[in-house]
Amino acid sequence: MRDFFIKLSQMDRRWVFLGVLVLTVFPFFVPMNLPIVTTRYTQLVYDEIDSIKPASDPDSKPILLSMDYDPGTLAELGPMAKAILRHIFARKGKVIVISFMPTGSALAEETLRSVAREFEDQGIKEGENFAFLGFTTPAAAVIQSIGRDIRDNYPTDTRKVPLDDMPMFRNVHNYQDIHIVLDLAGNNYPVTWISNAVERHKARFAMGVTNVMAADFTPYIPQQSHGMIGGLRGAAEYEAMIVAQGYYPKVGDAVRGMDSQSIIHVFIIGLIFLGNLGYFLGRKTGGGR
Amino acid sequence: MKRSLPLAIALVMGLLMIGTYYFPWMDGFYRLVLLWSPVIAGFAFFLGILSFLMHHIFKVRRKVPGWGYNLTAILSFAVMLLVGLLPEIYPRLFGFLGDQQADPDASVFKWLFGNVLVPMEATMFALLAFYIASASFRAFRARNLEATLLLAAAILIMIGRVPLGEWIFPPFTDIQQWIMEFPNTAAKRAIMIGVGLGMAATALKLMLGIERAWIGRGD
Amino acid sequence: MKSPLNMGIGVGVVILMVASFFYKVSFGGEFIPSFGLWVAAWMTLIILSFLYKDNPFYKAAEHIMVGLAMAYFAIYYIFQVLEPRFYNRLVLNELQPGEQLFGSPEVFRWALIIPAILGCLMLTRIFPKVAWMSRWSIAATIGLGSGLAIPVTIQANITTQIRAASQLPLDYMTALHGNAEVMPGFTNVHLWQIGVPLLMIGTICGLMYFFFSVPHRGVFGYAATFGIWILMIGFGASFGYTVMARLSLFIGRVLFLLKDWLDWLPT
Repeated sequence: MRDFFIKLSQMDRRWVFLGVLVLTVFPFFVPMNLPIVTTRYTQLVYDEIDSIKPASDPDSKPILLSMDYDPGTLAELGPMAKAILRHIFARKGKVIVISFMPTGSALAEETLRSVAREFEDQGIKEGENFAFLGFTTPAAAVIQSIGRDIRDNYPTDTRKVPLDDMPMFRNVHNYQDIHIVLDLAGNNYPVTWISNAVERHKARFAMGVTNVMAADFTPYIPQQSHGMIGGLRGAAEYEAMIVAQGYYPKVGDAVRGMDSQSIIHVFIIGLIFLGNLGYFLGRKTGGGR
Repeated sequence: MKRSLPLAIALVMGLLMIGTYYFPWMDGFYRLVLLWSPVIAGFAFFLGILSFLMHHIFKVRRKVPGWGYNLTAILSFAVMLLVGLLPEIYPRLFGFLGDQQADPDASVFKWLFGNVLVPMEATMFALLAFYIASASFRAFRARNLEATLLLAAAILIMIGRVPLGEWIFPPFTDIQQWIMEFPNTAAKRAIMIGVGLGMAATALKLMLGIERAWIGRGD
Repeated sequence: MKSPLNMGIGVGVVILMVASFFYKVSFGGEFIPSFGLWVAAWMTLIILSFLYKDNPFYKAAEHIMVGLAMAYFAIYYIFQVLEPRFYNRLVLNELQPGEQLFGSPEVFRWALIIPAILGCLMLTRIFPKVAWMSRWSIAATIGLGSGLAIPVTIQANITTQIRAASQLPLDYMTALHGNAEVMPGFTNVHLWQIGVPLLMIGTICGLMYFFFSVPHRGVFGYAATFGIWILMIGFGASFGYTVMARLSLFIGRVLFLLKDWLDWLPT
């Protein structure tokens, strides 16, 4: 028995790799369709976005969506961005998209335009419902300057159209005219937003982050951040919610990935148990390492 | 002169920046300095590119084993730089490469970004999935009470945050959310305050010249 | 691995890249998306091949990635940072409203030369004789960074966190005595009732653990021990979440291969 575990602990790690590969690919072909429960943090963000008014309403305020992720975290934050944009467009709201990551800006524009295309026949138009202001740096200064007037740092959008020529920017100047700031980030930018926009300009703020960062940002909720969407799971919750509320016909990549995520988690927990079993057996018999 | 002037510069700049946070009338200076930092960073980045090129050119010239890879790096850098620069500088001559600002879908620069750089970078990070799986088998041992608490929290989170966990035992979701909101927030808040104090102290030390390793040796 | 072989593969991949986009440019239209998809898929598979064994394809891809990323950032820096922020302001005099120093936009404009000088000084690092001049620009950067960091970290990390922590007991008492639903979304109220005191005590004990200047004995010792337990649970949560995140990234790549590239999954 002991020998078996010692052998097991010495096996080539590529067997573990193979396990991960097979168990990730396999569930895509045998979907389990398990229900996805909404957690509190995601619900808070959802409620914030759900309360926007359609662009036709004179009191409608835009959402400022900062997409600060790069290709490395695209898998988690891409589906999240899509789900949020679909929600905003289905509610005929207004969204301003910016980015502080050079690589993120290209991804953000692609995501924004592809989702906007889905809603084209529902009357979603650039300049009325959405605007892409592109990449700028440094983040702290730009965030501060929006507290004065968004035009300070963004005189035009990326097509060089002045903000004043777009109907959606009428009466939109600073954070008081913005429904909520939503930062989708795979890094520390939410803290930059909190210290510069929330603390200094009393902006309303929420975040969508990768799971790596999620556990570190909970102390900011709910005082500084109105909720948090965490990783692929958070994105899956959001997708499931907009489908349940009838905003969008079908769920996306995040929900689809949850089956693999479930199976692999069980696999990894199993590995931890196996590893520890070997460790304890080795220790009890006085041998091992 | 060579040592004390830099220390004085650091102190004055630091004090001015702290001032901008508390005095609104220093706003003009704040806006100026925030335009400075990307420019200085730009030069630092240029320095990085120079050393990148020098490193690879050196290897190619010496024909060290594997120099073909270094040549690959230089070539891909050159190709990407040219398809990015040329259409912007000589739009008439190189317009066929596409304007990445005006029409992202038809620009070679964006095409290379989207179809070569993005998948490679994304996959690089995806490799970590395999290593973390292997590490969880080899490294995470419940050696003592502290390690056991860590492992237990990790396992409860991992099972509570996937639909399968909810399906097996519904309270798992509440448990993971509870760990996240209470013990985790307590820990992270304590760390945040501790780190905050440490960071402020380090920044103060740098400004006041108590910590001066960055100056280096020599005069 | 023999060097000429490596070189051959590396150069071959670059030639393929160059050929591919000239192909793209000259043909245009419908063919492009699927061709790009194939390139992207191959790049994904090449990187994944590293899991089995390091190989020349992976090495070449790695170097291509570094080269492309460097150039990408350089282009972005030139056109999105230096041009609008520096060139347009200093040379074309396109200052934004409110950008003035000592009441004068001109002073503000010409002060933009300073970072250019500091930047040039940074380049003296290449020449050992005058390398000490680069200290000035490093000093300016360190001063700026420290000066920016102090008030911001004090506010974001310390004051607001202490404020949030000290508000908790009040909220808790109101919720216990009133009938307000303070934490919607928790199906189990008892979890919340145990949680809030734990959050308060845990934060204090966690902080106590960080006070190394006081010996961890007596009551302080017990508190510090409890503090380390709480910290461990926090690290465990981070670890669990990190595992999840890493797997999500791989799931993203698998989805790309199966859905976007092979089109094997129903949409």
